[in-house]
Amino acid sequence: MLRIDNLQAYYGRIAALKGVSLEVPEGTIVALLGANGAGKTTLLRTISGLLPAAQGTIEYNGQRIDQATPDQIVRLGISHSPEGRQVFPECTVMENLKLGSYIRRDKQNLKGDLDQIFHHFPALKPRLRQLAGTLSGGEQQMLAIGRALMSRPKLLLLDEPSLGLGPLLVKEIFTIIKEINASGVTVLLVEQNAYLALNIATYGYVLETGKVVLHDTGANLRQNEEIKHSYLGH
Amino acid sequence: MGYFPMVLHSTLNATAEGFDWITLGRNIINGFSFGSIYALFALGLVLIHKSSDVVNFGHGEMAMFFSYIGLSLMGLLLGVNISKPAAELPSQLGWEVFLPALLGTLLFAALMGLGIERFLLRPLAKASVLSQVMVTIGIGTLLYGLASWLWKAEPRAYPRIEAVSGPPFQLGELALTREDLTFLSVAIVMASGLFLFFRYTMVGIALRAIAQNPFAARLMGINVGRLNGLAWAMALMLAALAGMLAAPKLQLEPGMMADVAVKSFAAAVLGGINSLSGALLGGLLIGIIDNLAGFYLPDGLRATIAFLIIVAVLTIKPHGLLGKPLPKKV
Repeated sequence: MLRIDNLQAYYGRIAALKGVSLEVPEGTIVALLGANGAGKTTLLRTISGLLPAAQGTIEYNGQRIDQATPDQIVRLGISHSPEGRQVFPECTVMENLKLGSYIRRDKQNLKGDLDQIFHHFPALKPRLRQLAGTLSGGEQQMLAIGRALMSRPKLLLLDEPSLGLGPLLVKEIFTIIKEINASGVTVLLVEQNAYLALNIATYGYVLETGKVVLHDTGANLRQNEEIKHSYLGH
Repeated sequence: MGYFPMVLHSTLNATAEGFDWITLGRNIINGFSFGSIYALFALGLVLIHKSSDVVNFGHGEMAMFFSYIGLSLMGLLLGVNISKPAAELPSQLGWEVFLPALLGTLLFAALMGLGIERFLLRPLAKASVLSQVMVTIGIGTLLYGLASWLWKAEPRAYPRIEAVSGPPFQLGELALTREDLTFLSVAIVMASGLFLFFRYTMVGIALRAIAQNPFAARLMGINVGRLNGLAWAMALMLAALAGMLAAPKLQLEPGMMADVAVKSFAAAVLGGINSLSGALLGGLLIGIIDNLAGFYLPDGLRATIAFLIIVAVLTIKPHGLLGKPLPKKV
């Protein structure tokens, strides 16, 4: 579904991606692991068109998208739930969700889409009229994912959904990510918590200073001594 | 903006000694009238600031330029070339001339707004807000020079709309002119229209989203540049409307909007630079305070009193009367 080949990108003058190649097959959850500053967030931002690709290619369903604008990419079915949630604090929960479906022409289905979101995140339903800035961290994370789902993506980019959340909430969010994936959405998941990510991931890539240093199935990576040592805290 | 605001001529003379309620009432009505113009200006400033963080310091000159464009179009319809010094238009015009001229001017203003955003500000999107503000000052100065050159600097009369120049309404001893009422209702209709636009339309909600978090707005697939252009177009159309309505009251000349612009900035800040209802409230308050100060206080204090009050309000409510703390941009 998504195929990235020798991708290079710069953050200012610093090379943040130095030739990354990876593949996300349809229907899977692919985890992107690595320390802070390894280039995980940069990779997601380059895929969604927020940062230009300096070299290399990004192909989505066989179509080159490395020169496309963010709105073209959302229209193609790639949705990005960014690190730190980035909800619109002065907009209501409902408005945030509507903004998620901004590019959609068929607004009649809004209600059906909302029902789908409430199915995943029942906690949002009683808060529709509340300003997003007044939600708790967990609720904001749910809203950020829900908002990203409102464009009906085929590929969902999730950046650090567990950031700053308590263990119970994190578990809940990850259960929901599995649900979303089971409903037919392919997921590319950036996560610092390697243990959690590899538990649900079909496949995993490990990034270090802008390069892929290791990739394998989720199950194999969980057993990998290096991973255990650096990321799983054994 | 390189010239200091001149004092607007009040329709009342400050000759009366002592205090009476009728005079106070007249001053308040007159304040409402000017305040409505400030409010229309301030609405445009808020609109631009809400979407792109920029304060348009050329707003007054743009409105002045649009008034001249409007006059040229009226001249065109009546077969008078207004750039000739001797050219004169009738002092009152019917809708059949005013309306097409207004529509043409609104179109011109919208195109200018789109052009400014697309070709002057968007290339500077990554520069500091200060650089962008400098560009707006530059545009204002350019338009000032252009107007002085094209239409000469001498003040000239501006035609009134016939329908709103009829006899005033009498409220006891207070006269309420149709013009005053027109200003006030236009300001209120525009403020409420914008409020509904921002509250209920997808484009309006998207404009608010851009103001709160442009980064996330792009992730939603919102074309930030195009919508900022729309905000500029709408703001300048408001300026054109305000300019053409106010010009008969102010007399047309290149410096005519300097004072209005300064007071409108004050109005926008007083109301809260990100609040539309604040712009309306701020505009009306400034209009009233300024008129009362002009009447009851010694001449030199008029220009200062409105600003003293603003400073006082801002120390208590730093975000303005109805403003909210600006969200932190990421």
